[in-house]
Amino acid sequence: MKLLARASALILALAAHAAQAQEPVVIRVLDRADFVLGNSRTPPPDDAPWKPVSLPDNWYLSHPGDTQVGWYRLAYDLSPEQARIPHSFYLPRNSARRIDFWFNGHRHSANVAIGDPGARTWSPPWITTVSALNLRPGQNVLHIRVVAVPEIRQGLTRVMLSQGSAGRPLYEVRYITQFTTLFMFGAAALIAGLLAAAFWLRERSDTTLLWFSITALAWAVTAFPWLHAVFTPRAFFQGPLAFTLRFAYAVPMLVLCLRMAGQRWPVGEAALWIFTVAGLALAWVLGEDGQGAVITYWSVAYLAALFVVLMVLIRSQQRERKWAFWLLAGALVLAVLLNAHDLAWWMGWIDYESYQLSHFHVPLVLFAIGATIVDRHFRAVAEVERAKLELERRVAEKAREIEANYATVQEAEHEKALARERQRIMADMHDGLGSSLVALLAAVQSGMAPLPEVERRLHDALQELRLAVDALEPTDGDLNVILGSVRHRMRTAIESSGVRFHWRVGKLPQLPSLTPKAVLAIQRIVLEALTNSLRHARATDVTVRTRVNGSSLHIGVSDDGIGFDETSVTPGRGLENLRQRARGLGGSVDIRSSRGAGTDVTLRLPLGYP
Amino acid sequence: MTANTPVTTVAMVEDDRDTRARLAASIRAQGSLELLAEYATGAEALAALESSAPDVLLVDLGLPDISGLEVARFVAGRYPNCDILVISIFGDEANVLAALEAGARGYLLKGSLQHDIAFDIQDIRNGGSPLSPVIARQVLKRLQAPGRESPPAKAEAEDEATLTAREGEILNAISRGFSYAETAQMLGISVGTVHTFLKRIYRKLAVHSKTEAVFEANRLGLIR
Repeated sequence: MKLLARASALILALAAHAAQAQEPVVIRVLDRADFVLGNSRTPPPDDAPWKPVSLPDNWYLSHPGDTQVGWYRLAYDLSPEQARIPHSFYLPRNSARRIDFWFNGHRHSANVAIGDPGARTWSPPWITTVSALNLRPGQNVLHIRVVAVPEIRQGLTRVMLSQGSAGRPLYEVRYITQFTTLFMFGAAALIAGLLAAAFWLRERSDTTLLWFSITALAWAVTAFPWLHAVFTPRAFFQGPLAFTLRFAYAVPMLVLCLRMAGQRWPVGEAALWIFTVAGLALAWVLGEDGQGAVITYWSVAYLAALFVVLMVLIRSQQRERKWAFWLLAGALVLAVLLNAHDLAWWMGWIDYESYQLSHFHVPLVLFAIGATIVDRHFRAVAEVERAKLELERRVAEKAREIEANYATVQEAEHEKALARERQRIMADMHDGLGSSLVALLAAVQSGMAPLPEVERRLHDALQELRLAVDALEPTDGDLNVILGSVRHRMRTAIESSGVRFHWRVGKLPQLPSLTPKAVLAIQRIVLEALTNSLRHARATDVTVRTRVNGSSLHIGVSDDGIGFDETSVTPGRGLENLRQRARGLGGSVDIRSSRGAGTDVTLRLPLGYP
Repeated sequence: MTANTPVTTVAMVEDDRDTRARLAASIRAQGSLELLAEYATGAEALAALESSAPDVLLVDLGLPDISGLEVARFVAGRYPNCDILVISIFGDEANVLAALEAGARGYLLKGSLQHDIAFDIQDIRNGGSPLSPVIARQVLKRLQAPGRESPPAKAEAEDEATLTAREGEILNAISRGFSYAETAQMLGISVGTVHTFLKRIYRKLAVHSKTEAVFEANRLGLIR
């Protein structure tokens, strides 16, 4: 509390100091005048019906009605010293359509039409310097001719008299506050609006960017009133233009605030638009003299709307109140206060010379929303980054899972292949070795089989078993090795049989897809044919030859033995076995023989096998 | 076998009594062979072979105490002139290749006809029992210098553990089922030269197996 008291004391002291500093600058404050209505070009004579008035004189209050012309007469004293130097005359508000100054009966100057019609909204101050030639010692008379529109609160302020250009700083301060800031905000809003538009073009889904852009650009247009002063035909557009310049930004900004509050309120928005369009049309129809009422209603409506939006914002974001919320809420509170201030001025409830302040609220609100949008954008970027990392993590996890699954499947496949192979070997044992042994056992049990026969069949069984093992050896489908293995197994049998053996095996293709089962089938066929030739044919020459014929492979086993009659011999189990095995390979066995002319067994295999 | 053929001394390491008896009978039936000793365990064999070795040693791979491969390695390292035959039921690639690498020169199939044993022992005295095509192919794959297309510039500068072009040709012919005689004929050399080449190949296989001890260990691990 002590601190607060001290701070307020300090502020008071500063204010007092400023007042003191101002004191010597203004030597006369002309706040009393005589007034007479009349459209004369020169100051009315002293016998005209002058009536005393006090300044400032707001015509909305003192002379309501249509556009009028009137004369003010102001008197002031100057000492002989003062009368020898120029003096400046300062008006805090350049608030009439035209103001002409007559010093001691000499026409001096008129107010510049800068900012008109916008100047009527954001009235800048005005100052003029009068040379000593137009001044005199003793009483001086200043006549001011004023053309004003009461409807839009035109009139005359007090006149401040200073020596030389001493009053200039007063003018500068007011001009900067009231008018330069307007240009600055306008330029800033133009840039921000264009940027937002560019961003929105890249990101159409974000409508807050669009509304921000519209608001900022509308405000930029509003804040460049001199543009219209220069470029628009005055008489025709003045009404709607003045209205537009006041409220072009209003509806977009309210919509934007609603969107920021997370609300879509179509009915309210539509009402605002309708109200705007109606106000525009009304201002057009009524023209300059009738637009005061339109502006009044609109100002009230706008203030109410700002208040409602503030309430909506406060109620909507009750759950999480971040700095962005407080920023926007603060800006809206200020907007309400500033607009209330200007409305009070408009209604004539406060000093006619007060500053116009409402133009500060748009940049404030835009700044708050812009900061929120930027914050939201960077949050979104961070969110995307986080999501990306999360996604990457999940993908990696998934990949590991899939790898694990794949390994499991691989293992299962492997297990299945093993099981298949086991099954095949079992089947093989059953058909080959198993049945051989069972037959042998039966022969031994019956006691009918001679011992050499038993021994021979046991050897066959062992041979059968070795063949099965051979089929499992790593041959990589090399047919040369597969055939070579048969010869190797038969080596002692061939050597002890005493035949001339001819191995006419050329370079054969490699069939990597050959299964152990197929290898065994090929080996069995060749082995059986060879065994037959060696055992039963009584041959002197046995030949194994291979030939690749187009897309098929021929493996032939031939002998020059006794042969047999193909037609008379009952198709033995052995021959039928050969044929069956060859069919299982997708090939065929061709057996040619005739009595006394040897035997030729040829296995034909498609090379595309399997 | 004629009378003036010098007698070949044979010893055997085999734990199965019946097999031992049968083999012994087969050997005794051959006049050219003389059975010096029979051992039932590896330890017994190693102790007895400390001082002297026969011309031919038959070793069963599946001994109760130590691996037959160890016995083979021991004897091969100590007595270069002793020919080692591994006793196998199937003569399958994995076991025979391991035996060759341990220094054996061939294998004997269990259950062979009696006269086959004479053949096998004769073969090994002549330079080693015939390689099966499958094993020839495996040796070829294992010892072939990677990327070698043409024979080396100098035959003398050959690598200790890779095949020369001629050795490759011989193994290739054997892998295609040709006998040693046919191979010799195809290459225009004598059968004796083929045997000489094969001895060199066996040596390289042993060297190679030592340089790839880890690989070897893994492979044996997989076999068991």
